[in-house]
Amino acid sequence: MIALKDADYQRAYRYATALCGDRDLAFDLVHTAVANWLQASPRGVDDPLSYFLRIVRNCFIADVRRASLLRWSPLEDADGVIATDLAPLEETWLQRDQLERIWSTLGAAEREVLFLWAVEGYTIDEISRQTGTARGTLLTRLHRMRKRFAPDGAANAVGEKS
Amino acid sequence: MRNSREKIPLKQGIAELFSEQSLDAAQLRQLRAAADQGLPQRPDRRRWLGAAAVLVAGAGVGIWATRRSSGEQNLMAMAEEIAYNHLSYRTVDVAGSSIAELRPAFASLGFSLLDAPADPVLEGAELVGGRFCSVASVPAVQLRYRSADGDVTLCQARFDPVRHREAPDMAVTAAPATVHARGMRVSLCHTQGVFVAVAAA
Repeated sequence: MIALKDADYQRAYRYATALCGDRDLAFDLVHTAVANWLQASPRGVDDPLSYFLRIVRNCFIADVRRASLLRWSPLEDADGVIATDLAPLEETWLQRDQLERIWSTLGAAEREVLFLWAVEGYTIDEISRQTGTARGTLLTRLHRMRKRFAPDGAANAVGEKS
Repeated sequence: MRNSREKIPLKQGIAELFSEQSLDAAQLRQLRAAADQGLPQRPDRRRWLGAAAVLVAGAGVGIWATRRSSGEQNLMAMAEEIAYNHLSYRTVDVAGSSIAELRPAFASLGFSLLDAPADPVLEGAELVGGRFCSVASVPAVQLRYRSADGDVTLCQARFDPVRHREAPDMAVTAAPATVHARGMRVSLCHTQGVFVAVAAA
C-alpha cells in the first residue's frame, strides 16, 4: 500500500478547496477520498499524488451528485484568435480585489482549472488529463475566461459599470 | 497586509488565494489516522450541510473569506532550513567579494541577485562567495559573509508565493519577519520578486 505524505494531503486539500469553495467541505472531501484510496489499495501507481487527486475529483462529483456544479459559467462567445497555449493567461495582470470579486463568480470547473494552472503548475496537457477534458475545449474555455479578467470583462462579471 | 489595489500577475494572485489554505495539525492527524487504521469515518452529515450552505450562498462565497494562516509554521520551517544551511556550511561554489561579481554565476537560477539588504549584521561584513542551495524546495543561493562578530548567511531565491508564503513583502511592510531557529536569528522577506533571508548568530 502506498503511503501519502503530509505534503500530499495539503495539496489535495487545496485542490479540494478549489473544487468546493469551502474549507470544511474540502476537508470532508479529502477525508472521503482517503477512504476510497484505502478501498482501492493502489499498488504500482507511478504518481500516487495524481492518482489521489483524481480520487478527490471523483468523490466531489459523486458526492455532490450535481453535474451542473461542474458546468462552466455561461460566457460570451469567443471572438478573435483563440490561443494555442496558456501564454495569454500568463500575461494577465489585475488588482487583488478585482481577482477576488471575479473569483467569487467562477464555477467549480473554472476554479479547478485555474487552480491546477496557477498553484499546481500543470500544463494544458496535464490539466486535460486530470480533468478528462479535451485540450482544444480547455483552450477555448480559458480563452473565454480570460475575457473576464480583462478590465471590461471584470466589470461585466460583477455587474459594475465604469 | 497585502495591497488589494496593487496589480499583480493573475497566476500570482491565484496562488496567493491558496497560499494560506492548509490543513491544521489536528486535521492532518485525523487524515493520517484514517489512512493508517483503514477505518475512515465519513462525516457525511457535515458534508451535505456544507453543500447545502454552499448552494444557498451561491458561488459568491469566496474561499479567501475563511483563510486561516499557516504562515508562522512556514516561516519557522524556512528559518530552520536556512539556519541549518548556515551551520552546515562547507565551501563556496563560487568565490567572490561582491554581489556584482557573483551575479552572472548564479543567473542560471532564473533571477538576478539583489544587492545586500540594509541589515545591521551585514554592516562591515566581507563577502566570501556563494553556493547553490534551496529554501522550501526552491533553488536558492547562499551567500557567505565574514564579519568580526562571526559568519553571516544571506539567502536569495526567486520568490515563490506558495512555497515562500508569509515572507513579508518589503513594498508593503518595510520590515522583514524575524524568527529564531537553532540559536540563529533569521530574518525573511521578499522584494522585487526575490526571496531574501539573513541568518546570523
